[in-house]
Amino acid sequence: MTVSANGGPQTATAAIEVAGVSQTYPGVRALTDVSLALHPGEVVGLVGHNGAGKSTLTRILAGVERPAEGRLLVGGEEQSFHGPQDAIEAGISVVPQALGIVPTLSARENIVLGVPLQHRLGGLSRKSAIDRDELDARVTAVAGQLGIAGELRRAGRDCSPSVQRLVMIARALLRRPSVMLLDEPTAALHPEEAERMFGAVEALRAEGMALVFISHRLDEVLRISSRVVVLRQGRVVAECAPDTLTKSSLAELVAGRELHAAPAAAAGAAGAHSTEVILRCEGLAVAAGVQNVSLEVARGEVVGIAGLDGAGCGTVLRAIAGLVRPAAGSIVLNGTAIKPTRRAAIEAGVAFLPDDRVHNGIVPDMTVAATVTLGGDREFRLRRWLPVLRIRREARTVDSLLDTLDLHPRGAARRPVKFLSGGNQQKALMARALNQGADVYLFDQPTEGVDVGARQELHRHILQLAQEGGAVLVSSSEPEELVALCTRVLVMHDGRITRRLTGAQITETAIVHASLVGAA
Amino acid sequence: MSPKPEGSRPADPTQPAGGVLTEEPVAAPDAVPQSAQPIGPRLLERLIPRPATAGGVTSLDRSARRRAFIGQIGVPLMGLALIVVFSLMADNFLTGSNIKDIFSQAALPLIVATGLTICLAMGEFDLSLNGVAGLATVLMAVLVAKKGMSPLLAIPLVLALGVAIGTLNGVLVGYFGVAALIVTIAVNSILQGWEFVISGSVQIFGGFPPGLVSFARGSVLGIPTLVLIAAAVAGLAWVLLERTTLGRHLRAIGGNAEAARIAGVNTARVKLAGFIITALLASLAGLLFAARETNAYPLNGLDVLLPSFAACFIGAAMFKIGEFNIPGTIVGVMIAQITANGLILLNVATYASYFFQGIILLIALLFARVVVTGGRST
Repeated sequence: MTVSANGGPQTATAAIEVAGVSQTYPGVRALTDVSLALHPGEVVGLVGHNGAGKSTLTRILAGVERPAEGRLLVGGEEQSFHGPQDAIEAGISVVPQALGIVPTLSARENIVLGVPLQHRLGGLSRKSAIDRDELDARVTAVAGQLGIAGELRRAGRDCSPSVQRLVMIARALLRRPSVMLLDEPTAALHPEEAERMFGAVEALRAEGMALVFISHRLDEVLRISSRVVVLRQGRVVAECAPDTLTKSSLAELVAGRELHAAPAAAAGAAGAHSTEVILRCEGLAVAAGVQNVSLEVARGEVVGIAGLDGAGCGTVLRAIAGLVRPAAGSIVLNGTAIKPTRRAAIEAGVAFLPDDRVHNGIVPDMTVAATVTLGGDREFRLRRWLPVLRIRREARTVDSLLDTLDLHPRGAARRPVKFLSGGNQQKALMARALNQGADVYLFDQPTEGVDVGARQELHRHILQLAQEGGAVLVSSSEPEELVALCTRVLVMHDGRITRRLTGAQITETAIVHASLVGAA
Repeated sequence: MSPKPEGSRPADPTQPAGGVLTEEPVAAPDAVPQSAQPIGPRLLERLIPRPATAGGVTSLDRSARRRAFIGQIGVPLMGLALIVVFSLMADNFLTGSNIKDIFSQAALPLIVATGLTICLAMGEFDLSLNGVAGLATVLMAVLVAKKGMSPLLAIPLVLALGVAIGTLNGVLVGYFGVAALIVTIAVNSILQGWEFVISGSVQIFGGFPPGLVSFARGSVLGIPTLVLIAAAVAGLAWVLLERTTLGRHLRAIGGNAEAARIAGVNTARVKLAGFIITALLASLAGLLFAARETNAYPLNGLDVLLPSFAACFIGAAMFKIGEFNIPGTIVGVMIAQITANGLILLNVATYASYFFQGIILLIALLFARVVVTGGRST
């Protein structure tokens, strides 16, 4: 091996290199002075928590974004990408996490999808067109490299998950890239499936390709990489050989040192909650990857659920809300088991504020009043048996509800909800929960896409809900939010609760560390 | 008293992103999700996709404001233009009896289009309208003219058939999740076959009870009975869509089905209700058609499918722009009827009116697209 102790082969020219790259989005500094060189024949493991800058760096390398500052060098020469096409021409290929396989086409057809073929009447073809025989040869070669030669005729939907991903990699390989970025290539793969992926990555590396392996699975990164690069808050905080690291030390690098003292944890969610357990789940399992989740939430308590994307936090909330049918386990509210339908959950007193309010929360053309009372307008009906609504009375009630949530300006009830700001839309959905008069409040990413001021207000209202006797369960991908709100935090990893943090244990570092490491 | 900023500009309830409603003058990062308009499987947006409007909350650019204005007056102007053209070309167009005729002719299509508006508002289609109305016509004729059944018994029976057909559509679409497009086409085929079975493939004429016929052809205070019935149906449908729980739920499903489900709306049951109302109104129109025409022949009943869709889509380009709404549908039906009537007065062959109905639907769709998107294709 030519890998030196402190990283890649230093002598060769980098296939691609970024030097001193910074990137800012409105109000956010995404990357600060990042330098990274990718050399032929190495696998760079790129790790970092949500928002650390991995995606931004990937987008810059893929030509989707242009950096605000810094240089980009391809084969030692400075270049600037004006679009993804430039990056592809420079030999850079990105294989995204989301699968793009067409289930009805064969693996081979999926591989050659979108490749411009030379027309039989030569003159009509595009310049970049490939001759049929040449294409056949390339497909055979690429399939051999990745070890999927035997599965080319299989339909996309019949391919195993690892083969599906290898098909996508094969498609990228047809363009003969010199650099390849693999975004979470092993996410949701079983260990033996992941093994196949490692084999393919190793084969590509041996042939002199420069690869970037982006993953949350630290042990895999340590195993496959010749160099590990850690991003945190937009900066490269570590760049070292994998044999100098352990899974735990790498997790510490990703999570960073705690900036503020631990007592901040208890400060927000102070207050003695009662011991009266309102919500109790036991052995909850959902087909979508949640196993054996047991938890309790007492009156007046704010409990957090933390975990990476795909760890199952949102699914747990949805199961309790009656939106996903559990495969096993029980959900007990105030001592009574609830039926797994949304209606039953609402009537039992479970309010749910979904994540992604644009897709799951609001109906854009509805008025704010209708948004608040959707699914709970009984008190505004003309008669019990005549569901004609008294909209003036409804608007008055909703306005006073919004007032308690400090939704400004006043009198918003009769406006379409789409005209409200994101924070106010979230408050309107919160008002819906209040209107339903719930005992248990489930918040999934409560401050997603909300500005700082609105976030603080929402936090205040969440804490107030608990003080007024609600049992609150918050799922968030932002550790600082859980630190500010929760008296207990449950950390999930691969569909299971792997850590339970309480009191002073609740720090951003601890949450990030536990969600990366899992049970170990 | 200082003038409110709102007072300086005429209130325009349909502004796609209201300047006067702005509450946070700076488009914060969180303004992005709300300006990303295409949400949910809303039908109109599937057919006429709206691009993400830039700027969102802050203020309307001039062209967007102009489009909103065109949207408000465009369709009424189109109707007015038709009236002017026809009254210039046919001197018997603007006469009292002809206007009354237009309204009478519009009554039954309006009843069907009202039902379709409800179906479209929940983001579904019903392509079985012709079959439902046709079967109702034939069944009504058979029951009262051939079997001698009292209309007071036959009417509820025919309406019950409509409810049964709506239930079939609604269960298949709402509970089994089969696409409405294919379900309602298949059901339509079954119903049209049934028309032959019930009628024995022969034309039914004569033998209608005189009371029923004079009711269907009569007037109250100079207004045709059928017009009164259609007006009542449209009024009730407006109340249903704008002021009731069911209407809210229908609209919520049409606007964002997933959000409605999360809010606790039983989407399957609401869809069932929507399909039942649509089929019920189509069967009502069908039986009234039999009573007015006093004859029935399979596949020769009310031809309402295309005119109803045309009316609903023309209607979606006005009042609540981008949403199916009853006032808009009424205007849409009137425009279609004015066209049909004018063409008859000009001695244009009947088959040609199909041609013009198709053209009107296309113009309306194009118009709605331009109003909603400014004509940009991407």
